[in-house]
Amino acid sequence: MSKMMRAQVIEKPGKMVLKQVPVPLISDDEILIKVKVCGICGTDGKIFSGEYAAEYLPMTSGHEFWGVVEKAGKNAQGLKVGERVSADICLPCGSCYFCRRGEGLLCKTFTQLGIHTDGAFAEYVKAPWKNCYKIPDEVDIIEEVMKITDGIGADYVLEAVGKTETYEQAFKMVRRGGVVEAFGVGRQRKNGSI
Amino acid sequence: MLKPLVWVGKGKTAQFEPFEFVLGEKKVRGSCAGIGNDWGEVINLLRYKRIDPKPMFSQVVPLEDLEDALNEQKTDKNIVKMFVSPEIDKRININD
Repeated sequence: MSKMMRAQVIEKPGKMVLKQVPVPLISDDEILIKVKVCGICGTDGKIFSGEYAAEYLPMTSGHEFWGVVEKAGKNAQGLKVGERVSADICLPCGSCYFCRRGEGLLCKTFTQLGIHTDGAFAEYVKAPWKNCYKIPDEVDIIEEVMKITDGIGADYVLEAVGKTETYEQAFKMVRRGGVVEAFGVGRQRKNGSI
Repeated sequence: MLKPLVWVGKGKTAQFEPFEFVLGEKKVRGSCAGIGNDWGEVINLLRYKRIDPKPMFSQVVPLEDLEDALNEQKTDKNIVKMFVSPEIDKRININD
């Protein structure tokens, strides 16, 4: 018998049932992820009410997730059991006109994990290995810059985020006599925009 | 200032006056989702603390509470972002 897990299954619009379902079986090209956290998106509310993708019910929604690799298909590269991952939820066909132009969002048979296929409001979710992104540890960017410049600071810093905090970071990163180039759009007048 | 307005729903329609649209040289653009390395870029911005989404985080709820959370998110204006975790049995408030 296959291994079971808890999942919130939307059986029909407006009816959600927490039940035991089989843990997804993965192909050689997929990763099984043990879900740690999944964000609730406005789309989840629309799937539950039947306003969006109702023809795909019954299913488990949830597409803003991260977790740890539980099992990796044999074709998966660069992903090890226990590593933290998130995944691009887009599942374009890969071979149509738009996909071949790198415009997968325009693919006519485009589906999304957790919207059209079972998602992460469950203990486990599966995703194609090519969709997975490793989640690295947080890094103090100023410490990193100082490390690679032997404590001197950077000659040039490009600032494109445009928030007070990121300008402060930029000034801390630049060496004495160095240049901070700022570009982008300041959303509020109090932020500089050059 | 750029003021995007995004609100879609199946069966919902919007009306506009062609005059206002044409004479105002307004532009309409549709957008669906992030794809591909959008993920990698965002993870990098988070890694180097270039963006901090935490002030928007409200609560993590157990998997059992998903339906309640969906309703609360719709009705409670103080809630911004909610998360579900299958690994907890009590709610965790963030930013309290």
